[in-house]
Amino acid sequence: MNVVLDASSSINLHRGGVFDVVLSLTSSAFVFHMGYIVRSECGDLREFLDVLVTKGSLVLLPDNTLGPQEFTEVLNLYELGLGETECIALAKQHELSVCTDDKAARRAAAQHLGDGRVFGSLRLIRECVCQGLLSAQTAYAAYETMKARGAFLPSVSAVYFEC
Amino acid sequence: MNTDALRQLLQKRNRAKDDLLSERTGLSRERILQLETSLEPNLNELRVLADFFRVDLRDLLPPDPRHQSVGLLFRSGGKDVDEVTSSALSRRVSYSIELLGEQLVPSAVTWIDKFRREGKTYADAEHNAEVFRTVFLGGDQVSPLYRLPELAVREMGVLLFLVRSNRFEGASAYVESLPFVFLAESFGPRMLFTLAHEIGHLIGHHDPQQSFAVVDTQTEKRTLPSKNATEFYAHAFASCLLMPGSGIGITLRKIREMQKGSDKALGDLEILLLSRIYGVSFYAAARRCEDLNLLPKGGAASLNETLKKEFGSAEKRADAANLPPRADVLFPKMPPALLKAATDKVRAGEISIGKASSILGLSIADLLTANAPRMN
Repeated sequence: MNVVLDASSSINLHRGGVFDVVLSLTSSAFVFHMGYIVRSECGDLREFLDVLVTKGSLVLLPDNTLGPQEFTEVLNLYELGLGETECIALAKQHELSVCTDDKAARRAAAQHLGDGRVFGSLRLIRECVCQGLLSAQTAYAAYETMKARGAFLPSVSAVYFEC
Repeated sequence: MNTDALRQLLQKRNRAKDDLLSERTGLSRERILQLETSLEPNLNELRVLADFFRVDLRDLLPPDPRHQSVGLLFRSGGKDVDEVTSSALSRRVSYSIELLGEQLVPSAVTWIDKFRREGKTYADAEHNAEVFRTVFLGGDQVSPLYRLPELAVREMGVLLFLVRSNRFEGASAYVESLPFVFLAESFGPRMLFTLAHEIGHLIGHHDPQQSFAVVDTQTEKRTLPSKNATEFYAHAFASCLLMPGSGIGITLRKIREMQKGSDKALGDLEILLLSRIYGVSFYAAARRCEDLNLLPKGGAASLNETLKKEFGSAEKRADAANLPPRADVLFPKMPPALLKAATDKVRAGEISIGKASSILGLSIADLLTANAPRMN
């Protein structure tokens, strides 16, 4: 599955201490992408992201193929942030799925791309449990840490992470 | 494309730094010239140029038609207002109004009627500065006013934003009866003076019921009343508010008592001490001393230049003389009401976190942190 990450999901995964593990899903047919605007929105995470790019766990997508007019149309249509808009525009262009932990961005992405191509970080964490990369207990602890550090995430119980 | 904004940026750039521009953006000199004159950029080019010039990418994109009326307001707010500035300010104002929604309380500016609003003389400014201290400081006509940012936000209901810009020092507006002030982040004392200057605009002449905007590129330098009476008034108001005449008198008397001082003319160190006590720059303090006839006309500019030549700056002179350090003046990064409204709306899915981050001028990481549950 080809996935493009936004800043909210990337920061949440990093704060939950499971970003590395999630990106190791690349060995299970996941390919993770990120746009330059999102990379910039990740602030202090940028150096960490660059290491992941060098390791081949993350692909930075060039934005020179996006026209400002086309980008602005999506921006004005859904009134999201620049990074969220970039995610949706790139997902459309490269046929990617969008991973975002933002409710408004998920709604917009679903409208623009179709329901099946949008999910959040919790789904990726759960996938790690299914692939044997994390225990359900560790996954739930990561979720609780993300919530405690301000993530706008839905309430789920530990059962959600059982696979 | 907001080609005007990009072209203005490129045309006003320091051409001596073109090598640096090319190196940092990865764009060739030839390509930069093309973008300056005719060709349309792609998103990557806009992004790297926005980074280089430290402007928001949104301000180089086609303007959102919903913000155009506020944009026009800011464009008419001063002769030096460029496209990027008017776009950045109007976006913040429009989004704030949208974000506050039903929380808008147009009658919040109840203090306006307490001020004299017809005159633009120095005496009018001094009168209103005294009224301000009566209304908001219980009549204290002496003390320094480090609390002005907090007072503006909490007591006056001003939506105060700190912005990173070297294109202007301050801006103020009434839009839908809400008072807005924007301060460019810089030397604290200068920001305090700019805030007082913008409050001068808000209380001075404008009717909150009628939208207006002013953008100031230079707030400490006073224009002649014959050239721009409104700016003259706002400068005088800031000066009188931050450095009340009676306070200056008492403080100088104490300084001279401590120094067992004489009746000789006011010296640079005394003015530096005044500037540190009242939280303003040396030039602003010296200028107020001129107005109070404690310095001859032109003395402020002349002393300021002398200190720059001999010590590098007035602040360096003060440090070298071991004057007490300046008190910290805290500026809230954004209106607290907006932060709460933003996190509530992100949680409800009414706006995205990226948009909230853009409205508040806060990083996504900081906005997430602001949403973290408090431990107690």
